[in-house]
Amino acid sequence: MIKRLLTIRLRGAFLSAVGGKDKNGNAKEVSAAKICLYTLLYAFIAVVFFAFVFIMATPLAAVLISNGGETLYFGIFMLLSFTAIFVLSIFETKSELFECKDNDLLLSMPIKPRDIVVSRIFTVLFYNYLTELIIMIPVMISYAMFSGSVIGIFGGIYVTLTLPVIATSLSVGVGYLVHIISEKFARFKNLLVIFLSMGFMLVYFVGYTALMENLEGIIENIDANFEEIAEAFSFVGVIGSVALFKVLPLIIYTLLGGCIAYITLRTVAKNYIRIITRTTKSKRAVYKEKALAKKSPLVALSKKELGRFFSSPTYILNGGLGLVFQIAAAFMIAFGGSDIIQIEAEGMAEDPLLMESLTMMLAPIFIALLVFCQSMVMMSSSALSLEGKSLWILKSMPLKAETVLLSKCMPHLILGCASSLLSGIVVAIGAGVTPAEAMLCITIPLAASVLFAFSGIIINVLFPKFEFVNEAQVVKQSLATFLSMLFNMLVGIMVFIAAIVSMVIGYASVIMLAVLLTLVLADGLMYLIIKGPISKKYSTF
Amino acid sequence: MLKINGLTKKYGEKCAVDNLTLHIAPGEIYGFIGHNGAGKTTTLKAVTGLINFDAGEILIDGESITAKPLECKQRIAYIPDNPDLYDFLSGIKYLDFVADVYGVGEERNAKITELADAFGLTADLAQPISSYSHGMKQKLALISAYIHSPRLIIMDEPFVGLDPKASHLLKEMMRRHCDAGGAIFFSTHVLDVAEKLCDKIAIIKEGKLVVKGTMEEVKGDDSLEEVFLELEAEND
Repeated sequence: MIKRLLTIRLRGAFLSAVGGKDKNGNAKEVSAAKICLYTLLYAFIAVVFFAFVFIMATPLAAVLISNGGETLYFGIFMLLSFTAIFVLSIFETKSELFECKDNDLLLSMPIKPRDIVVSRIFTVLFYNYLTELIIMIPVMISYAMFSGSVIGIFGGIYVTLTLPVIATSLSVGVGYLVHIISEKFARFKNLLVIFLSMGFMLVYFVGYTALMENLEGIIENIDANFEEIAEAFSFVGVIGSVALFKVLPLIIYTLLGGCIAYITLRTVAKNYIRIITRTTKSKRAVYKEKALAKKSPLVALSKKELGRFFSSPTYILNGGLGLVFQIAAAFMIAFGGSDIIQIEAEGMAEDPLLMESLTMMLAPIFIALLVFCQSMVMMSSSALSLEGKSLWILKSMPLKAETVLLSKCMPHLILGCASSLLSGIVVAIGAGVTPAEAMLCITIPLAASVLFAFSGIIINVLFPKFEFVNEAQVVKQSLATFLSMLFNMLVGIMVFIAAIVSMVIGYASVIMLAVLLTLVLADGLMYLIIKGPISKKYSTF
Repeated sequence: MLKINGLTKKYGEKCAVDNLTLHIAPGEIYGFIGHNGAGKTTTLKAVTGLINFDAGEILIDGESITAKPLECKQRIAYIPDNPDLYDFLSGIKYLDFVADVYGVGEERNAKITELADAFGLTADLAQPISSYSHGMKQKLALISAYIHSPRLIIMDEPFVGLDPKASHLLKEMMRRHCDAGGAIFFSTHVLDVAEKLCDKIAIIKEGKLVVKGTMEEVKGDDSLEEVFLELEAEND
């Protein structure tokens, strides 16, 4: 039964990933060419991440392995992949295990709860293996480049195979706890989930930043102070020694990992029915009659869309996290901008021309940073898909397709533009830029917000996914979200390139003005596309 | 009020509705009967503008649903067999949203109070729809359908999930709506209800219209159930 359930889930995931499902979620024939195209697209993304990890791993491998610090090398990347898998999959397991819409259906069938649990954990595990491979393959290549140790290669393979199991088991356990806590405080469920998620991410980012800073220190001082460094990071070394098949750490790791996986699986399977059928008591809202005022259809639709956004922690966290990043980045620039100038001044003082160029380049870099943060906002790319089975409501109403699609962009437009405006003003005031640069700091991120909102809905209309068992499948894993992320990243990179070009050839304000005009033109073009072919396409749903 | 002329809808090779013609006049409750998969829901969805069709025309008050969909949709209300509503909204917010889209003015307040009281849903209006039972969702969908005083109401299995009191109330409301000059086109499997409630009836099988007419013309001295089963057997 586990095999059957797992096959159904993975087949569904595969078909969704290669566009093999129609808008109602039914399987449709998918051509070999289409599969090849999607494979190439995913391969491209994988290569980008591979390259990122490889660039990080190679200098470390070079210095650590030549100094006999192989265990430290493996330890660092085992910790990195473990944390990435653990943090990224806590809420995935929560929604995959406890919030699936097909829970009732499966439980009504003669299927053991253990089989349901195992099949769902395996689905999460499958995605986690992909994350692990993206990290560990370049790590192993770097290792092989600087060490020919067969034990290390086999150890790396062993770790690659076992680490996701342990990290997934732990994330299932924590996801289970988060679910229980959020059900216990049902009234504050959304707030709680958001705060917990932000907390986990904050811990991850703080940890990651600290690790990167330490890595720089290790690379710089390795020859002089290797003994000291090895001692300071002895715990990391012990973890890494598993990959070199050191007997005691290997036994502890294997036994501990096995126990964690077994206990988690057993606990969740044993309590599964009780967990997902639990009814929580929450304070009943009392209806008080009050006069309702008439609003325009667009306002009514937009209010509804905002209501949807703020009612779903999954949607907020995956779609709107960029807003927090953008505002945080703006304050960091405003209050840390002078530090950046100072650092540059220290490093480049001997070259006044370069120093001048860099100072002139600060504003474009700030703008590019704000745009890049905004590119992580992906609310509109799943807005239409989230209608799901309630699409009939909009379709049966006397509404223009254009009005519906614009309303779908509204939360993205309102929150994205508000965040860009605030961030732009903070940077303009705090970073000491010229009035012309201040205008660009405000207007370019604003124009980018509009572009991301419009492009998101266009992509969603082209690749809708109306059938889903939990919101995460749409907000996090759908093709539309994936493509939207890719598009936004490309725009962000283009703005960065423009900022760098302005450093090389000068004329920063002119180049950034050209960026602004390009974005405004793209906004207009996107709006016309929504009004024309995309509205037509929506009418066929 | 509603004219369906030669409606044909295909899903790939399968013809879900085949050259269907039906005319519904103001004041009529028109029942639509057929076995599962006969093409009832497809027809109702085509009338509502939810799906496109391959041939034929659908006119609502003389306006084509394909040429002037917004004008047609303004005049009709649709209640599906399984009302998937916006779970994240409360009942009152959903009704307010529907009233806004249909351009209902201040009169919405009195209408909501009247209809919610009648269906016994007033106390639950502030609750999120996610906490509603199937029957409560059905009641909310019914209230939302009546909120903009549509001329034509299209209902797909409207009695499923309703308690006896709400069923009785719905039947009364359907009658009152038609007595006031409106029309209702609904599908049902509950033949007793159809027999008592409908002015006219149509039976569809495998997408094709088998029989249509007034209740007397269709069933004569027999019960509707007997006629339906006979027609089913004849065409097998």
